[in-house]
Amino acid sequence: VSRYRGPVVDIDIHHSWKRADDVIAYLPQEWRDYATAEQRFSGRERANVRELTDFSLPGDPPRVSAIYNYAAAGRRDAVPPDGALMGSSYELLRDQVLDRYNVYRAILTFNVGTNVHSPNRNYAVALSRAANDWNRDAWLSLDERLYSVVLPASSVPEEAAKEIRRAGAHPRIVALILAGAPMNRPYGDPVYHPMYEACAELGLAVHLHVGVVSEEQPPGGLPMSTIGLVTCESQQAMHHITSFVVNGVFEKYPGLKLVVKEFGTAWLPYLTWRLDRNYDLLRLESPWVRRWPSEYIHDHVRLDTQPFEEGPRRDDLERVLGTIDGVEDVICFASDYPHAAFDAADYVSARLPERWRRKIMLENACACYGWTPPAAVAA
Amino acid sequence: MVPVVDACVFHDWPSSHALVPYLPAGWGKLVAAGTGRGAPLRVKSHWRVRDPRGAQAPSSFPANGVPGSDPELLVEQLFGSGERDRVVLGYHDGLLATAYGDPFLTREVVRAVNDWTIAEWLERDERFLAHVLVASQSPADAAAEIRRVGTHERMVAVALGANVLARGFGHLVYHPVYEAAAELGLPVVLHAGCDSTTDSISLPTAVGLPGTYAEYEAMSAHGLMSHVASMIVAGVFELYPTLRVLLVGGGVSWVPWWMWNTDWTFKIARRIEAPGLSRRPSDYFCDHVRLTTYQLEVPAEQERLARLLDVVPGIESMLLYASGYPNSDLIGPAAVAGALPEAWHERVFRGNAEELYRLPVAAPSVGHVGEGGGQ
Repeated sequence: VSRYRGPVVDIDIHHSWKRADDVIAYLPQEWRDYATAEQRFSGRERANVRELTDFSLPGDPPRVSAIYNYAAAGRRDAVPPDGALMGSSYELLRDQVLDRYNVYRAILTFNVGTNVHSPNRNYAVALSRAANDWNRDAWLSLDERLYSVVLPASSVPEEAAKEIRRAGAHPRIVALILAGAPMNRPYGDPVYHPMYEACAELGLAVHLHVGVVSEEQPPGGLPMSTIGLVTCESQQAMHHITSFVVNGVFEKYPGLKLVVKEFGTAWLPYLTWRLDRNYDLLRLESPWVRRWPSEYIHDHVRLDTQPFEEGPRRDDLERVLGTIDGVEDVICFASDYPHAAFDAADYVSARLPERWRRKIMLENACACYGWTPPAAVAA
Repeated sequence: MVPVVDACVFHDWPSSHALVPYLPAGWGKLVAAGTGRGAPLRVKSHWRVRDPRGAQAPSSFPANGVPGSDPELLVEQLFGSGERDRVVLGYHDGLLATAYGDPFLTREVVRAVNDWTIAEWLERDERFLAHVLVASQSPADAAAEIRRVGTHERMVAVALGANVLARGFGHLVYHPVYEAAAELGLPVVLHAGCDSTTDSISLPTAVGLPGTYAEYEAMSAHGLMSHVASMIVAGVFELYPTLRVLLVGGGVSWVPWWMWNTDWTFKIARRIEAPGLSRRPSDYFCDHVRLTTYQLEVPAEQERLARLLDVVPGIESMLLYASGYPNSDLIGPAAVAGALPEAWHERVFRGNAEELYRLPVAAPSVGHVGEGGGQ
């Protein structure tokens, strides 16, 4: 059995500040006072700074109790020895991922992009700027393989668009990161379009990561447990993608790419078949829809390999995904480092059909971000 | 083709006036009086999202009343061609009665609905079978109603109706309903749309309400996915090992993805969240969950559907033919036969329904026991 030994692009690495103070230092004074109020009033260090969750800034949205989010829990070996937050060490990232798996380029995407969805919207805007400035100073000059995203306050789209134009002009910024739906509207809704206009202007992709904020409620009522809820998080992706289609976002911004991450892939036939069969309905409700939804998905939507899905038989995933023409153009590899659900590049590539490997591990991401892939080497 | 069992057709009452004779006198008077402007009280909630094309097939409209409300027309349209030999009646907008704001009136209405179904449908034609409608928002009443009418030999399942309490259907509050259903050997039925009524705070879709019917239609199975996960994790099938669930109107092509991912999360979280489960979620799913061909996702290249479903072991034993009549997206036996492998047909068109609903295997020879039998 031949193996894929070529270069890979990893489109989802969750990097972090070492401690909340790193970002708070970039806030203007009045918001620094707000962010540190608990510490100053109680005299205690904020407890959740050390937690291995994706929420580590003061003012984070509260979450429902069932979302333990095991998937986002950390690899123990990715927590730096000094006790800083997981994903905050460049050296560990370099040794555990970049050098180890022949990474051509990697995209740093925060942990996980819901960080600035504070219900205090004005603070969210300030926090977004601080996080983007911190990212620029702390990470973007470290290693030529590293690229990253703008973290926007998507609950205030006009301000987010300004921030995209400001922080997204950096040559190593290749996308915007969206997660959760802080206005309880799916991301294709017209209210968010100013952000996409800015992305289209700057040639940035839109990353959409799994994530939950308190404003949202999953279908079927409040959840009881993580099992099932995590599965059903893919429902967010399905609604967001559908929302992009019905609201004509890809017609309005013809170059825009939507990169949907950590929602799995095996639901794609379900969604595609359901959307395509309702073409007449789409034409009626959304007259700007001019192409089959499956065509918009093939040309504009990218899914990552996380979490890598496996049925009982080795070729089950290929059987399911193979029902969609051109699916091998749609999927991009992601490791999800440093989360516990981490998939190593060689693990994923070995489980892909051979003819899909180079596309999924390297070429699709390069095409999405406008990069020239390195020349193929003989296996 | 051998006649099929249609596992879910949506019948309905023509207007609330039809229920008045089956209501206690006081409540009947209240419903008949309505809001004082001539029309009786609607006694139903509303759907949150509507199909702009209209929900029902134009040919299904009777001279009077709403589609699905005229037994003679149903007999003619469903049995006339000889395609079906039995039809299970499962309520259409009638499901919205379970989400009516007043639980006291709701309790009386569902009792009247079940008595109306028996008297006006089951006693008219013995090829009709039906679901017991219960208001799951009042579980003790629902359990009592199951025990009251679920003993009728042609009341073959329990329809839970709307999710008024906005909790997954695995929640402890619903267990008395499952106890009663298991006691009588009746499966419970969940409908796509149970999280889509205006009188509940539960939602049909993630990240907010859909703005268009296309969004809703693409995701109409989402609530069902959550409810099945909820029931499995809560141990409902450990507590009631004979209980089965029929999902109506949610299609099937999501099942491989659902199974793999739920098993994956289960592997990580089982010790904390589900120590009482002895098997993987997918194992419970295969043994206890059944799905209808109503809203089957049939791609342009039909054979791809079977290729996808084939990764689910035993899928041919989990699918029941249901037309979804009188909805405009109803699916006839021929369309299903074209989309699924011939080797599955016997199970999908008859065997699985006979097993789930515990029907006598031999179909009744001739249908009519009452007046107005039709063909």
